[in-house]
Amino acid sequence: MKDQLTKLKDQAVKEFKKSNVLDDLKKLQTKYLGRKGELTKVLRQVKDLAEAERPKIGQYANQIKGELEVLIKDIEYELKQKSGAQKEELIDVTLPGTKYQQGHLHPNTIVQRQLEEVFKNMGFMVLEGPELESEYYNFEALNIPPSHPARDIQDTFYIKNKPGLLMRAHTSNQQVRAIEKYGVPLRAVFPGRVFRNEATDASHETTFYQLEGLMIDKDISVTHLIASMKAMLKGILKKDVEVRLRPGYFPFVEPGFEVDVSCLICGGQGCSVCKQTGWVEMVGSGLVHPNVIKAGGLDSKEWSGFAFGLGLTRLVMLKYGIDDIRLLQSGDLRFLNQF
Amino acid sequence: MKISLNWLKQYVDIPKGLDPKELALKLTMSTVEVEEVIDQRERYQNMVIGEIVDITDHPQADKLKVCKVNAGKGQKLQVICGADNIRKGMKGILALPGAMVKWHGQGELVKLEKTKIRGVESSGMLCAPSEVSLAEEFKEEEGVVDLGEEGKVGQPIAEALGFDDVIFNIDNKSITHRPDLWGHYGLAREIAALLNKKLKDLKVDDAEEGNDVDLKIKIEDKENCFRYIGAVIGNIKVEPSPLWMQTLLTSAGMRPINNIVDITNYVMLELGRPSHAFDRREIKGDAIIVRRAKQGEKFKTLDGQERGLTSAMCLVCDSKRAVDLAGIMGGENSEIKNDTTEIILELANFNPVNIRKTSTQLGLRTESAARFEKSLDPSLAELGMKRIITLIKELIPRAKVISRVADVNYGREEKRNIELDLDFLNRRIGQKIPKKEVISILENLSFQVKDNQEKLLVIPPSFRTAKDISIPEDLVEEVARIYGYDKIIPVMPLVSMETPAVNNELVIERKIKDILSQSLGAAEVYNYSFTSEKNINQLGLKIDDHLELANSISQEQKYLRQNLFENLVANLESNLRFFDELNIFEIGRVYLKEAGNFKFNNKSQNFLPRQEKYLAGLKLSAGKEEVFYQAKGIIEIILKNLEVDFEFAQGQAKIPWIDKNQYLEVRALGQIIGFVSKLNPRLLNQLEIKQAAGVWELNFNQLLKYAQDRKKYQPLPKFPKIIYDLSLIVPKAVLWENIEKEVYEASPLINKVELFDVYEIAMLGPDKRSLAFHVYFQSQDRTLEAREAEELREKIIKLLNKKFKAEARRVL
Repeated sequence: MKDQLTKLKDQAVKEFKKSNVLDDLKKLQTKYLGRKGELTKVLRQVKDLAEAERPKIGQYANQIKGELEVLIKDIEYELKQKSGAQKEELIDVTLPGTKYQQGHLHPNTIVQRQLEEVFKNMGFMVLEGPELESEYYNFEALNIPPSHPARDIQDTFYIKNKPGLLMRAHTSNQQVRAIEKYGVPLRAVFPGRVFRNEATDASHETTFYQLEGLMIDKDISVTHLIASMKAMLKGILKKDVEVRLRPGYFPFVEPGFEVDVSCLICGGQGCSVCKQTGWVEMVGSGLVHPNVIKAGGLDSKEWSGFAFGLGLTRLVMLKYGIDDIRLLQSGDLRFLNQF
Repeated sequence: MKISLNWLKQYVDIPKGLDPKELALKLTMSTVEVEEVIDQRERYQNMVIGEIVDITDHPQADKLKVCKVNAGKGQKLQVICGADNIRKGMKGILALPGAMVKWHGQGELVKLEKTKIRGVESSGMLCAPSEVSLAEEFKEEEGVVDLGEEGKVGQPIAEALGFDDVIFNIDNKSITHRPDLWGHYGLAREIAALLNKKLKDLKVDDAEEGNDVDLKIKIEDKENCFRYIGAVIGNIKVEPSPLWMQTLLTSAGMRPINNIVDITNYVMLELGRPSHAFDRREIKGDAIIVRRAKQGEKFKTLDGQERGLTSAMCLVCDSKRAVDLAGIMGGENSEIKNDTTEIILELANFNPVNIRKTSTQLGLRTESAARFEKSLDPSLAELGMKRIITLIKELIPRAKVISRVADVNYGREEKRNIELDLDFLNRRIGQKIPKKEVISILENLSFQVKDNQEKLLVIPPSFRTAKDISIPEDLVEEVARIYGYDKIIPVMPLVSMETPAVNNELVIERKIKDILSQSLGAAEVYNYSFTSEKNINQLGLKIDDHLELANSISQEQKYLRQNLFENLVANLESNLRFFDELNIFEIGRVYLKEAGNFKFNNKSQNFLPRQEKYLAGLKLSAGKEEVFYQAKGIIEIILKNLEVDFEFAQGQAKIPWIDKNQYLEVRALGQIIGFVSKLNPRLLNQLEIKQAAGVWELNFNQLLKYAQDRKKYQPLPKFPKIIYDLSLIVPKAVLWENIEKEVYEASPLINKVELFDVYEIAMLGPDKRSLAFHVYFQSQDRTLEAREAEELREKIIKLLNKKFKAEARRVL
């Protein structure tokens, strides 16, 4: 019976392929696959076969039926093409793709997220806090006494008729707030908006973003700080950059460091971005000053830590090659739509 | 600050083979940042003295001249120059091709090349001071450097100006806490410690006092003057100082004036110790009185400027009048003149805070003030006086002290003994530093060290002030930086493995920004936290409600925003020049006068002004789309994604700048958390905007309370649904919300009602509109029959007709 089926199939294929007009094809379809068609006839006989044979032959017959049906569709399509009943459209594939409306995140948001990921992976919490801040958290708690130049009205925005209130000059205001709220050991970063009383130009702004970090634990040392700064900068810049630490002065750390990375533009050869030095200042850091630890209500003999501050806006500008800081707060969509 | 290598070499033997760049790097890595190393001979290569022999007009440009410049060796070059001060016969700095110059004093050094300027060839350049890093030595505003008629034509500039030095440019910001480093001797001390060399002693002779003159000193303003040492010196002959001194001063960026002024400047640049010299003839009664200025008192400083003083400022006076603006600048009335023969020297200690405030207030930032405001070592006054007298005698051997060296001292010196536990030191550094090395480092920095086994008793030198060194941690820095940070091996801290607490606020903020920027096609903007009177007025809000900056720098950034729209609306205005549609949003804080949640400090019961985050946006379409519904849709998507159980409610808008007829409150559990509306026509008219603008706002802090994350999957329906479309003509006053509600109530089998068309046309009648919607019938437990659904449809139509006079249009 199998041979019979194969023969039938071969014959059908031959005849199908010969058909030149749709009508012929329809007739042939009826001849083989119709209710009284040849193949149907064979299929009807399957039930008379021995039980063992039945599934095999049945399956084979169905397979042939399927193959023939596909063949018919193909021939039918070709015939229609030929007769012109169905023509392929002429498509200009070089026309642009459909314009879907796309939104944009602010470049600062994009870079801040990347940084947050790096620090979360290193076990840091990400915290925010007030931008309109008290002198206490912005200065006093950070070992910046009232007579300190940093408190000058030239540098910090104060609020009219509200003594003791200012726009935070750095995200370091979060250091003592975080110790008070979360206790120790502590690992946290504080990204956010900071304010300086500064005339604006292409590289100076009243408003920009920083990311401050703080780690407090037992016996945190300079070796820990150096290793952490290197790891963090490699994580952020995703490059095997050279990192160096040199003395720097910030009242709320002791010792204090400037952390430089080999210039991202020239790779350390010297260019205008790094002022020919091969290095760019990226982070200020240091071991937390004992007065800050004390301000957080902790014993500075028992607890120590490191803090660092990173210029988020500066990083954004370096990453995208933005040469005018004012664009970031301009709300200008010609700029924002590029991100 | 400019530091001269030749000057440093007087105090410490710097190995010949040590490249100045390497020395600069050592300083950067251990002490202060050296921003730039200028090798003068290198810097002034290909620059010679040139003499202008002829000047003609440039044929193409009014402001330019064509000069013939004699460059020596018979070479005459054609040079184009735009400066006003050039004249025939004048000698100046001629840069030849190959020289490195800074165009207009800005940016990078560039190599000069032969070029054509507006069509005329130019083979060199007559340089302005800032173009060749001589801004401190020559007056920039005059034009190109004018060397007068002196000088040998063709002589290399480095030779002519005595430049054979290497200059270190130090970043002043990196030494604000180190007054001892504001002079060459202090830096030499650091270099000696870094190179493990000996610091040479300064030549200081004990002054022989005289008693010909009775110098009387009285400090009335003890708050601002702690100490005043004065002495009268006679037999002075004012003349130019010797070349070696002039050269060093010039290298350090100071213009030589005469021997007396130069000596005081020299000691300032050497020890970081400012001083002042008066012409004794002008000091009435040989009396020095230090007092407060009177409010409104006028005083002419030696730069010829009359300054208005306040009662907070401090003056040095004689018996009749003020003669010196304390610590900042001397008076014109008593300055050293060419015929001065007797001088009164002043070495005083002034209150650093007061000096800073006065100098900033007057806009008079002098070298002297810069040093005083860093808190000088009180004992340095004495050393400074001796050093100045020593130098005067060296330069003018006949000079003689003709008074007592009077010293009025109210300052108290506190001895600082710091106990340094070596174990503490090693734990803070994280690495063991041998005790011998610790002691040697500290001693090289002039600290006294007493070895008490595990602990060291350390006494800092007086020039390392209390602000700089007072606790063991300060000593940790001293040891570690000189030991070398690059020798400290990095080790990661070992901590217990914990996942950091998740900040839900940031998670939700991120989600919202993603929805808006990715699903809703909106662009995120960042605006200033500050806004202008114009922006506030524009929205019809009250200025008085706003917090105001005490020291704003511009009208645009004067008030604290109370509302994101104050600036968002301005974004609309500025962007419409380039775009005809917009979809922008912002998340940020707004600042209110009332108290919020953050405390002033841990002990205080006072709270900072409320500063919640808001989320707001503007939607403006170029076409005929209804922006109100677009804004409403934005809120719907955000809140659905955050699983906020919310509803819109009509309310009385109190916001002056929106369209009150198209306003909805957004409520979550009865609490208003936001709104959706449009800018009102009055505002649009003001802004000259033709399109309508949808606005939406959510209080982010409120939103946080209602956001959820507990979505559960709904099983897929087992039985087919039947969809009927209904089209009704309804009186306009009937709200869709009510119709929808009525339909749902018709049967529990209705599981969705979906509006798909709204239109108003004249043929329907004046107060009618057509609403078309799909109704989905579905049962959870059986297949519905068509008949059932048909009956329900009839029922709905009857209901709506009865309730709202709705009529079915049976066209569908």
